[in-house]
Amino acid sequence: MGLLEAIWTDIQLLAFPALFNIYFAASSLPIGFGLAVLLALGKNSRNPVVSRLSSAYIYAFRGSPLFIQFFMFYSIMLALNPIWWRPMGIAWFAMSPLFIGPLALVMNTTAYTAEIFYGALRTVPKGELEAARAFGMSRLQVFRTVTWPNMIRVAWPAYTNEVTFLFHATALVYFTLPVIGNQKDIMNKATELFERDFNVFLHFSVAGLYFLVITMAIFFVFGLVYARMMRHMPKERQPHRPRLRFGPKYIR
Amino acid sequence: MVPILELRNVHKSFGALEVLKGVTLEAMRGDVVTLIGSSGSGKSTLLRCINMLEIPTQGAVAIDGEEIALSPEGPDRHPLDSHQLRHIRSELGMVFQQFNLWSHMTILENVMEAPLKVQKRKPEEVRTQAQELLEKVGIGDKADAFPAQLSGGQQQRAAIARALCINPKIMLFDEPTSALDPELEVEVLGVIKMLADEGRTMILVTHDMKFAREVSDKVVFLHLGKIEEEGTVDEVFGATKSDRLRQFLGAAGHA
Ligand SMILES: Nc1ncnc2c1ncn2[C@@H]1O[C@H](COP(=O)(O)OP(=O)(O)OP(=O)(O)O)[C@@H](O)[C@H]1O
Ligand SMILES: [Mg+2]
Repeated sequence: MGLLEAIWTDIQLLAFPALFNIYFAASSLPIGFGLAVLLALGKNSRNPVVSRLSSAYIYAFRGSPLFIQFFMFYSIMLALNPIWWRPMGIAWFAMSPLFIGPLALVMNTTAYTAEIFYGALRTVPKGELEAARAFGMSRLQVFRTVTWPNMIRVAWPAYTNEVTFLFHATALVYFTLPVIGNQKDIMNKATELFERDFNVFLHFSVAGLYFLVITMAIFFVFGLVYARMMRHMPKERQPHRPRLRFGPKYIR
Repeated sequence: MVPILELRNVHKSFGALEVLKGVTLEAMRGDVVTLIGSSGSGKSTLLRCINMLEIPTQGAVAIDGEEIALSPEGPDRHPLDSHQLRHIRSELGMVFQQFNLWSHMTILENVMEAPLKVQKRKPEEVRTQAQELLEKVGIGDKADAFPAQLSGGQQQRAAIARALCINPKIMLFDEPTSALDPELEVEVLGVIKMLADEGRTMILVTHDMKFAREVSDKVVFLHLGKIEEEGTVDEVFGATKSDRLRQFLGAAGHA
């Protein structure tokens, strides 16, 4: 069997497992995005209780490794199983990695994204906010007209990175949670293939290739969105679109 | 006749610093009132008290006979009726020193935003008026440009159009030309002069004594948070009473 054929076989074998990684990312990112907006506003709030609680959440989830967070969520869910999930008849759902995985990812990406949004929130031009208030806009209108568009534009490059980190982090789900039947992600499947023939070069390389290609797709799409967000800036002031940079930190 | 603007005994403190120490001021419909005074005398603060960007720690503000409802006096004073405040603000057109256009929106969108979102007027009608106003301030061809693509003078004229488009009862200007190069200043002053000649009610903070002479119905000299002197152009510039004002005018290069 030639090398190209071997690679092609692996690509085919990993296609279905890739759907699990995509599922984990796609289910947790939108929820995390929404929660992060609220949390960032919370941290920015003038109410000290709201602000402290939001900061504490962000601090806790950014300050501990995601790897540990998976174990933590799993053991908590496991402990709650006999008293809550089983009696309620939802154990099949609550104990599934397809639920716990996104749960842990959402909790984590919410914290990271909220910190990104919070930083961006603080760069929203005070004068533009003031002008909106001076024209009689309500708080919600000020948010929609000024805060949101400025915040999301400033946050976008960093958020793009967060999205790719989170996608990479989906490889941790089945490292920490039980694999049920045929539900295997790219990493599981690559490990399984490796254990069959101990080909050290092939399987993990193709697995990595999957992540690389999808990451490039993410950067491409997010870059297009960014170009649209930046269209009001004069060309010379436009920073480069977010691009794939080498040496991102994979462990967090 | 009811004054269009009435400030009664307005005080404002920032912490221990008392910036306004009891200002009482009236303007009638069609008046152009200029606020002059040295840096730090409280001109901007006073102007910002009119639309509650700063909440007076004491005293009252009434627009067209309607007093803005505020909680009892003190440092935590706040508006009592956010609906009333938004309504009053939507009738006061403010022009800032730094323009403060919404940078991600086109000039036309900037001008149309408040009429559409706050005043809930019809898009077609607002668009027509916005376009007319942009023509009027001389930037009709910039409707689809973004603020960053315009010169400072053009941006400030756009900001004036934005303020005009809400059909304001009063226009508030805070040193509208201070951020501009002298050659761009002229075009903005020209627009303000035109508005004054139309009989618009305007409160204008300026350092430009020559311009104050040209447009004012009433000149108010603020000193250390109080009105030191006020009157017509002739009274204030021609027959100056206080030494402070004389000093100030001297320093401002006025004979
Ligand atoms: N938000 C604020 N917090 C604390 N102090 C403030 C605030 N705004 C203004 N001040 C102070 O109030 C005083 C008056 O400020 P203000 O901006 O009203 O002066 P001004 O007459 O407009 O001066 P300028 O001609 O320089 O614009 C200044 O000493 C200023 O430092
Ligand atoms: Mg000022």
